[in-house]
Amino acid sequence: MTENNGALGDVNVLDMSWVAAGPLCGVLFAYFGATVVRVESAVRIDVARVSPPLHKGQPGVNNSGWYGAMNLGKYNVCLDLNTDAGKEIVWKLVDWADVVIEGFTPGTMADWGLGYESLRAHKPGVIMLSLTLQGQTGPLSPMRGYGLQVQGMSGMASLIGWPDGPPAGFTIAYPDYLVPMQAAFATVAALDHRDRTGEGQHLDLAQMEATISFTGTAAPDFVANGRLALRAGARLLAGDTPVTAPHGTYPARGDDRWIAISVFEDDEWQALCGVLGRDDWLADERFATHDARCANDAALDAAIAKETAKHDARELMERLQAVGVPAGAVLDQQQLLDDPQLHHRGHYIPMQHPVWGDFPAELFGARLSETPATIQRRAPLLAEHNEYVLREMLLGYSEEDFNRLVAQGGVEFYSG
Amino acid sequence: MNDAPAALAPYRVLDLTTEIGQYAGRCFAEMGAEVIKVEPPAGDAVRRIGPFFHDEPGTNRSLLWFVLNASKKGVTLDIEQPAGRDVLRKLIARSNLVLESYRPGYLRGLDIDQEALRREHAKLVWVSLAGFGQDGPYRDYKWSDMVGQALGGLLYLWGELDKPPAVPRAPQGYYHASMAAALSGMVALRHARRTGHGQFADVSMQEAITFVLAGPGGTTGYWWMEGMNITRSGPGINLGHLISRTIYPCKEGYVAVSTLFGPHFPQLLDLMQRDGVAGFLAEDPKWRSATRFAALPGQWRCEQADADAAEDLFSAWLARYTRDEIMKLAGEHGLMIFPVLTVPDNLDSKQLEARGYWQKIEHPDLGDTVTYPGAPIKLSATPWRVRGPAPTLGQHNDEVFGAIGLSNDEMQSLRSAGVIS
Repeated sequence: MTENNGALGDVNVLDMSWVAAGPLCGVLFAYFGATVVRVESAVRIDVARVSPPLHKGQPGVNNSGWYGAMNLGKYNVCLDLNTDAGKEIVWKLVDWADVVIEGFTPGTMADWGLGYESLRAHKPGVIMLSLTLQGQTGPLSPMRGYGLQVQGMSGMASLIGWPDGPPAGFTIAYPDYLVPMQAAFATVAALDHRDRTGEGQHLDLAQMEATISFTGTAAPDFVANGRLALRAGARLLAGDTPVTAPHGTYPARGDDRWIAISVFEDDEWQALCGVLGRDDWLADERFATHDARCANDAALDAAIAKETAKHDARELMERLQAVGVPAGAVLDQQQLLDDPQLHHRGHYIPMQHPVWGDFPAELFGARLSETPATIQRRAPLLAEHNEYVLREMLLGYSEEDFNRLVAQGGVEFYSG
Repeated sequence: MNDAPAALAPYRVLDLTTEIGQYAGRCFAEMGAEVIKVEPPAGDAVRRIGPFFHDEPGTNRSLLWFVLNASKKGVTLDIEQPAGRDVLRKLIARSNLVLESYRPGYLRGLDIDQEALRREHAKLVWVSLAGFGQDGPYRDYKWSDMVGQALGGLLYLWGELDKPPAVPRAPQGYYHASMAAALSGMVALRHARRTGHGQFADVSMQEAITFVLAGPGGTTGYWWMEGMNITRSGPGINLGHLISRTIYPCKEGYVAVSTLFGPHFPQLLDLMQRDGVAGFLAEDPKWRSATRFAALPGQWRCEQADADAAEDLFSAWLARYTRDEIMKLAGEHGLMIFPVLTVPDNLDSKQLEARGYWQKIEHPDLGDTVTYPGAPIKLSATPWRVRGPAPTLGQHNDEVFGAIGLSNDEMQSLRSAGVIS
């Protein structure tokens, strides 16, 4: 066993991003043990800090559970980058950092004198990760806004919903959650390259492009076969035909309760009929074979829905899985918090927050045997670590220097 | 660009995964690792899933196989035969990272035990993917992409409220499982290089999904902070106490708006008034400063019913124009309205063309090219790029088995025994 301080325990991250996609990259580094300093403004408040879910539904810069989840394990300093004092501090942070994360409109960092070329001239090994909607180059590069726009523009939204309804994949700003994993993977690879060669680099993530990479066969199918594959409800289609049937989301007992069932093999079909008490379906020629089930999948879905509606979703899932049928209760957020498998894996870590009190923080989705992901501390309050980061932890400023930087407007405090 | 260094060139990855994990191997391959996909002599199950190139089924024609396995090498091997396992052990011995997604316990039953193998090869990183992980009450549950999304909490959010949950037409659960595996494998590889110690990573698709949307996404917080579940919200975004309609049909096509009220709303209102469809929005100046969120000084915070009524008028205005006409107006008047696009729009995108996003890759056996989504992220020094087509069945048998020291005679006898194809 090696001493565990995280796989990335040697890595320092300067997180200058805001809202969702960028901070979510920073938090992944924090889970793996990196030291992450999040720079914010105490004047121009990060919109995530005041976005729901909110403690008791009330506004407040330290009340957001969303911000709290995306910034676990980080330190927070508030700087005014438009002042010389703020710039002096941020350059010290650049000296300290292995990775700089930012998510401003292209050109903004350069306007502060903090563009990649300036950083590289100062420190050739630095790795800069920029996250934007459309990328650092190209005619749409200046586009501002939120991940929701990319959900529509990437074509992802058109893949979600029912054939007779609108694109319906907007409950959350999905691209904001999808792209950080790709960005973090590439950034750790870039760190590995830097370790071996000394060479840093600039990583340019366009949410548009990263989201398209999760659209499966949509583009190659259009180019090769001229097929525009769009949303198809809960069917599993390959081209225009079902891969298998039944494959769907069926009603269960109660309000807005559902069970997902996907049958691929004949023995799974037989087991499903048994659990639903419909062995008569085995003799029904519409459903007897894989091909027949696929050809009659609408009738099959309607018949199954009538049966599943009599059952509790979780109980039915357990009975189906016990006889080898792939099935899953469709869990809402309350049920996720109670799920026995997630609890078995230690997914929820009890923590405390000065405003919210006790809360369940969530762990990364994999268990590493030697360097497990951990949560080092709750998300920071606004401006919480100004003095700690500048004086004690990292930069070693004297009390006199610290007071000078505050007086010169470089360090911001939140006045409510 | 093609002779730029690759970040992961020093690494070898052995890919023993099914559909749930194959995108992970592709990530390593496109960052330059040598990734060897091992499949049974009859071919990986994904090869049998369509759509197929030119809609003609065939072992080497599945587009799903292509997009999950591009840039890899491919060998066939029957690991249920002892001779196949001997070859597998040799492949493992020269690998830095093994990715596998057999049902938990299956490989140990074949005496391929990651713990024993890691004792033998101290720097080896072994990543196991499964629907629910390697132990726990759901360990032996069967999974599909949809079942993973159901138990991960994502499925509850897709679709319209008055219909059953919908499933995205691209396997989002498998992508999230693959990315959790890729990131775990990557940090463990770097750790192994620095310390000499490999390790084991146990990836659960369910937990990977829950982590992505509920943890950092904050959705579970709606329950423990506000005592509510957020539900699917059709063409809108759900922020707990408020649902904002995001997608609207126009005369032809759809457009999206992040937030109807916002800096652009006065200009939008002018246009609606010009067309005589502003209705009650024109009657009270308070609408020009409306917000759905906590009101800043000078703003008026409106309730759900106000927003619903405003969205209805906006919707009626949009119905007068096509998507392209709306986008022209948006450009001229600074409106925060965006097009909802589909594949052909994006294949013609000037933005994606300027950035060289799409990659046309030569498939010699098809006598044609296949268009792949390109790199999800651009790296200035060590590019991520599609490095070649997905392997045909057994394409690299001779090369790879030769590299682990099998003679032609040995390969011939393995072939006769059906261990390789």
